[in-house]
Amino acid sequence: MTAITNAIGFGMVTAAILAVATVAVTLQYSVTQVPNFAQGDIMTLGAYAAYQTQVFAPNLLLEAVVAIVVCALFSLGMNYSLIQWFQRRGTRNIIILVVTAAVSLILQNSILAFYGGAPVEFKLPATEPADYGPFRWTSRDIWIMVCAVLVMLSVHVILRYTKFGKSQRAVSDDPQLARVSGIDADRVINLTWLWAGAMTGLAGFILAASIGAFDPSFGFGFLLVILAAAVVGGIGQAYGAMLGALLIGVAMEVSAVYISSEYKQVVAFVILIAVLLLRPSGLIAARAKNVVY
Amino acid sequence: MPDAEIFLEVTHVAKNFGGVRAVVDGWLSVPKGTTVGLIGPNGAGKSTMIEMISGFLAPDSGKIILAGEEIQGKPAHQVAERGLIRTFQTPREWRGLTVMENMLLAADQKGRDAAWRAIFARRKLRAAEQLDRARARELLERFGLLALRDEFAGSLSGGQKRLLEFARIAMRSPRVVLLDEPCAGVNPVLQRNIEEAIVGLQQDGITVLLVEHNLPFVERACQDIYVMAQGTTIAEGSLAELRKVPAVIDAYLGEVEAIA
Amino acid sequence: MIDYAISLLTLALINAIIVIGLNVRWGWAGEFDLSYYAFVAIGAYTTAVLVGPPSGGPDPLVNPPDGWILGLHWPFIPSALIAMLVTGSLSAMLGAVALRKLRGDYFAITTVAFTFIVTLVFSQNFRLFNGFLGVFNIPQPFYDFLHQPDIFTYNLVFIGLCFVCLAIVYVVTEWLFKSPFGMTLRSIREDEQASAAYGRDVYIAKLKAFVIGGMVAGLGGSLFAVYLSSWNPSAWSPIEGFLIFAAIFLGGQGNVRGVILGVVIVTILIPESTRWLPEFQRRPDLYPALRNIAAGILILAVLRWRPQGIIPERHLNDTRASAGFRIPLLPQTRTPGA
Repeated sequence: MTAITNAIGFGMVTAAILAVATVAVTLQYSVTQVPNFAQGDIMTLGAYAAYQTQVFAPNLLLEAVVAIVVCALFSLGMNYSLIQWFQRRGTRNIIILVVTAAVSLILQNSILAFYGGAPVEFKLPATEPADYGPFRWTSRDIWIMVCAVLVMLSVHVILRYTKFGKSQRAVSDDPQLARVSGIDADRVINLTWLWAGAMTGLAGFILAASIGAFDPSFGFGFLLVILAAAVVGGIGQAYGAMLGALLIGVAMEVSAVYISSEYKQVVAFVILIAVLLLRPSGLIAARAKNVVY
Repeated sequence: MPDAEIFLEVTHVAKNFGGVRAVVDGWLSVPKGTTVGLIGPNGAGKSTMIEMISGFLAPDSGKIILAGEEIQGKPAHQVAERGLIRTFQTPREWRGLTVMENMLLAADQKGRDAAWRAIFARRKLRAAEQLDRARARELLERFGLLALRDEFAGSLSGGQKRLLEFARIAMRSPRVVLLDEPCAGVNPVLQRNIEEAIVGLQQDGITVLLVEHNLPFVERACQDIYVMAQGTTIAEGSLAELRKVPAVIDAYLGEVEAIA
Repeated sequence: MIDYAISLLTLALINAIIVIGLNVRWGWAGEFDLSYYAFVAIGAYTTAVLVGPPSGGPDPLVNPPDGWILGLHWPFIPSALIAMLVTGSLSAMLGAVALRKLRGDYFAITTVAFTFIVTLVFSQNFRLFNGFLGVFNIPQPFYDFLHQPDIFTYNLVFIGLCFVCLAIVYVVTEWLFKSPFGMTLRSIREDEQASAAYGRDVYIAKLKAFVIGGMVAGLGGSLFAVYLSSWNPSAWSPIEGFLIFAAIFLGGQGNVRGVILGVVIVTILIPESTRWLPEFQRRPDLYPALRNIAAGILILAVLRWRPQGIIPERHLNDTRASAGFRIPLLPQTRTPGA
């Protein structure tokens, strides 16, 4: 039983990291209708930004802040200069998807060109695992989960109680209607990307902090797990994203008890494909996509 | 028309969209070779009816019978293969293809578009294509679009696109046509062309179900009219008869195009 | 110098075959398919495994210890055909699952997932595919048959083989493109609902395109495997798959000539343009990274400034299409009621 509870414990930490990134993707998707294939690489960007900061001025908080700011600005720039341009011209969504994939390619390889392919080490203070009820966590794990919960709470508060949150929900429901009602949809979309970018940067920083060593491709590998969590939870639904992340995170770690850990990601993908086939609107249905023909 | 054979019949269909009851109880029947109108205020469920009849949505309950065969729940392409063609509220041409290609695509392929035929039956395909092209040219001429046949369909004006829709329908010569608000946002000249096109369909013996808001037009074109409101078919008859039905007047209260 | 030109030409030919297959899936059926390169790899592995000599020879590098090669030592052509069958069947399976209900972004995500899974399976399976080390020392086709000629002659023979394959693939896809089947696919790409409204079974048509594309991928992969005489998982990833998309965007979607031009630019011109730059000792990843960046920027530039590609899709002009047939161009009589 201990192996399973251990795994669930790990799973919850993974889920925490996943949740932050997934909510970011979900918010972006809700206003842009296209999943951002560069998401994983923006996480990598955050991780490397934190690493670079550490090289100059090792300070955990500073590193986190730099990661957040860099990714937020990058996301904003990506939307403002690229995505919005294509959307204004009524480009098909699938082309916009290709655009995000191109950005992913460019970003990942820029990092590769600059830092090289060998993994870089992110120095972390050593921590000892301790028992918390049935689970075994280090203080870092606790911090990660606390962080994630705070982010989730802030998302909830912003979406529900602020003017921006209400505008954001209006735009994601029906952009035309929102515009006609006087909401500056473009501004809301830009701010959403900024916000999502900030969260992605934080997720990248946290992931780097929990792994300790990474190379330029590590974010892209995570992308698929993020998308799995987003789809499972109901793509476009922020609350669904949290649920999806929890499910996928725990499933992945628990499965690692039974099968080789190389195949952990496969578990996420299998769940993804199963959900896509059986209930494409996700566990928390937003709008059902009616593909009848 | 008690003697005419009923060609398209819809009995008591319903459609629910996660809590929104778009259609509660819809029914109509269209005798063969006639034109029947479907009118009603916005949100009455008319478009959902079209979607269900044409196979783009499956009704939650009820039956749709085409020439004696039940087709409810069948996917759109199978319904089209059985001779029922529909239009959409905005003209849906294939934008990146030429007008002539649009016409060729509209023709009934009868299995010609199987992949293996492309390799092993090329001569027969080419001969069939030439016949299609000739017929397409005739029809384009009829609709005044012949000169545009090598233009991309996406570059046509709105009016030309609507006419292309009718040309494509004529190319297909279906048994039944569902027209979803063909005159929406259309200027009077174009509207006359569309009326002529519908008359042309009627002369060809095609059965037509017409959804429209323009009541004088509906009066001229249709032999029978159904009224829907709030998801239910509430009345049937000629426009003169319908004007006297209180439920119909109620439904149109507040509508700009009141029955005057 | 001649050797260099020959190797470039061979590479161009093989890449052209590969990109034609992708063009069937994207340019015709309109789906963003990131799993394509995985099928190339499957084709490569299948052929490699079938063509490999028996194990247990004196040199463990040439004939690795028992278990990882089937030892069939088949000739190339049947192996390639089997590879095409395998990739075609797997395409049918993936397509049946992914195309039935998914479109657009969901479909793309599923194909990426498929690629990851395939990568994992190949790199973890040591018995058949030798894991991340990959299969190497793959015998060259016709080598023994031609009594082991010198390298130069052999390279020419191999180019001939590639040429023949490309010609067959080109002709078959051109026929498909011009046929009602091809036009159906293009109409689906333009507007699926309208196509369904006119009687097209969208799912079946896309599935057929998917399988055809998969089979061509298998052929391309087979040729790649024997050309490089080795094949391992680092040779491909979703990124590689995405790069050949660059070729399609650049060249002009749906258009075989344009797509071949695109392939030449992306797989020949871009990599070769950095060949003569000085080597950075400690940065082996620099040039590949720069090339990928260039490809990515190229894709964005094309999408922004010339989305139809360098050579836009050809539409057969009606006058020319009707040339040589006795049916008159214009009707002689007017239809009544017009």
